[in-house]
Amino acid sequence: MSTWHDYVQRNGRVPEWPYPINYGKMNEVITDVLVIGGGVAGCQAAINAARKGVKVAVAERGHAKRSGAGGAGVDHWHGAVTNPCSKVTPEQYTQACYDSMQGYTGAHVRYIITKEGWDTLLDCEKMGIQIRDVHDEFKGADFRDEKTKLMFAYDYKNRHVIRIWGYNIKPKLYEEAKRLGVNIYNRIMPTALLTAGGKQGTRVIGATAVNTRTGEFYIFRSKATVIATGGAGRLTLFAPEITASSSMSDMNAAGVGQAIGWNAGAEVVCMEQSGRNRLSGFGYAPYSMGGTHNTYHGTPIVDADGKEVTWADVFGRQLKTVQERFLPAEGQDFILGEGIGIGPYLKQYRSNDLSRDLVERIRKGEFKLPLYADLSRLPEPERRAIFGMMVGNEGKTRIPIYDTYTKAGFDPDKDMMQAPVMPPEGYAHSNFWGAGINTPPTVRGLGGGGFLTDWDLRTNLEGLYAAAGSTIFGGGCHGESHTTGRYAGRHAADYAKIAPEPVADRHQVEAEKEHAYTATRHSKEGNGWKEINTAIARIMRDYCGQYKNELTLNLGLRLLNELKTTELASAYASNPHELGRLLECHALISVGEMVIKASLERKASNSILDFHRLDYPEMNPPEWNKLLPIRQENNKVRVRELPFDFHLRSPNAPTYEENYQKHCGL
Amino acid sequence: MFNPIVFNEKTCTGCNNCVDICLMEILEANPKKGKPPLVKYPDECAYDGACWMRCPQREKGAIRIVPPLPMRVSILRGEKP
Repeated sequence: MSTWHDYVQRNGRVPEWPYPINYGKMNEVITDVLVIGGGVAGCQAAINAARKGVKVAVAERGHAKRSGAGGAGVDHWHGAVTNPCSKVTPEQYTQACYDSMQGYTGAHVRYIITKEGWDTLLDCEKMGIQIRDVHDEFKGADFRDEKTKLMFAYDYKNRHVIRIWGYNIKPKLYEEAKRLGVNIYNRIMPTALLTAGGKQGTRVIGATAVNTRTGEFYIFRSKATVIATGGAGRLTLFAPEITASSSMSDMNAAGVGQAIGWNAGAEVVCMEQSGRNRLSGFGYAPYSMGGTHNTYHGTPIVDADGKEVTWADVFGRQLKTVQERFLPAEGQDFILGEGIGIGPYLKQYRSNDLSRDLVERIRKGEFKLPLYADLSRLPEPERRAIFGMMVGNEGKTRIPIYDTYTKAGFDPDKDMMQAPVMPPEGYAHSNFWGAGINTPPTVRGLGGGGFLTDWDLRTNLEGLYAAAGSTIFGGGCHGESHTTGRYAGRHAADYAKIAPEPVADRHQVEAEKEHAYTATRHSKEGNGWKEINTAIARIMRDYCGQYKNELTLNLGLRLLNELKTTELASAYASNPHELGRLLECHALISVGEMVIKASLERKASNSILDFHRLDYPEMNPPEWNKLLPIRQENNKVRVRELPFDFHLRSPNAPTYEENYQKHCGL
Repeated sequence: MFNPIVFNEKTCTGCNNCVDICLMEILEANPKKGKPPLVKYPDECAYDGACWMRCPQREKGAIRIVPPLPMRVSILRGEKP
């Protein structure tokens, strides 16, 4: 045992902070391109900007070698529609996303992702990521192409989702960025974007930040800036000891990029969209429970008596063989695949699933709980591809699931994984059972909304670009983060080459510096960051949960502001680490305000956005079928209306391909 | 005491590679050189395994990741229900 508490008990004293603390010591970094967030999107942005010959700096909260939602690895890559085996075009894939979301997704971003997703994956292969079955471990399997040795997921006919061996994808990106001379600053907590004249809505010229080991202050002066951060995972639920084991949202996921962008005047859209937050707290470790979702797609499910649950296609026709689960049904165009930021799917693109009457049959007692995932009923190559190749490479499944289960003696050839025991309606869709319907309905997760960008992935602010799956409107998952990062990095570099020198506003820098360190000067009796975070989450759950009205939303805003100006303003941090966490609480409040303000602007309920206004209960009134981007100007919210197909309207060209060719810069 | 990362004092050499990589900054170098790091902020662990993957002594059991007890799962071993 070697806990901090053991040390205190053994030695009778608290160990000193192990790094020299220099609160306020100024460090100035001058660069052409600043990338905020060193996850897969940020590293790709940095690499691709550096390849254009400009000077690049990355500001990373943790350590860029493993950080971010994709830091621990990946097992499949969506949207690689231009791979030589694919039967889907970028136009078809983009249209499938757009139509499924009834317009509530950034289709131009989806198009960029599908045009370049495969090329981005080839880039990764050059960096040393295994994307093909080069050792012929799965020779002859129906998900493998014998010529290219590529292996596919979800749709073995149309072949646009690729299974990969991505456990080392992040270290490889990190090494490539270092090789290209990118300056990576780890342990950096950004506090604000710097803008021309220190004003909201002007050109972005860098950022201020605090080092969470030394407490030193950083000014990054950059000609162009890319925000490539994660979402605000701690916004509606903060439960220490279980929060951080979610798949996509770790403790560092505080929506910092969105917060500083919003405060600088960047435009965001669809922030009112949310869904049941199934990935943290009340769930199980991702992919640890029996299920058929995502990595486990196609897995047979049996009940407590060993009776197998039937599979059906989207039209309700029973699927008799395992092979059929991986093929589009008659009448379907192709299967899109899940986990790509699409809410409801149109039937033409939805995955095969367990029989839709499973809920009713559980209620009637026909299937007895608990259910189990029985991998042994899969064909051998499929079983080995799922529990082995995929579970051994994907995000947080390599250690907590593959390693732990294997060491405990789990044998996929004969053992079974139990599914969580839930109310029957929890089995309505096999999507993330393990994350749990047992989560209270007030716990919401943001999803789909983000920075509104143009065909260059630039925001409304000059010099500010956006990337990453959960930060950009139209993003998605792992591959999407790489590809948007790669594209945004190129464009930021092009802009930096012609941009004037950035001149930081002295008053803005001083104000940020003053603000950043207040918590270190306060009385030790001030609240700590955990108390503040818990209060933020409580306000968001109670006043901006699944059901809202004008009054609850305004109360939520008032309470967030009171928290910010009283308890948070007098909170105490005893070291730079705690200071970083408190600064994250400031970011969480900004994101909370952004969500509530976006929710106030949409005076109508909407099923695609899973948005429920009790004072406007009519679902989907046609006059509200539009986007409502918001931004701040002089700290007041400005809203405008935007048609869904804005990316194909003047001044843009009328087709995806024309716009792409005009803007891709290749 | 909740403890997501457990070090083995016999095989951990105190190289602090895990402290260097830990994304959530939950680990702190032990003031006594050569001793395992201290788990200072256990409830901020992300269970991402960055420390484990970086550990040169992991095969000797120097570091172990213990998932949260409330997330303990069930499996059926070699028997059909």
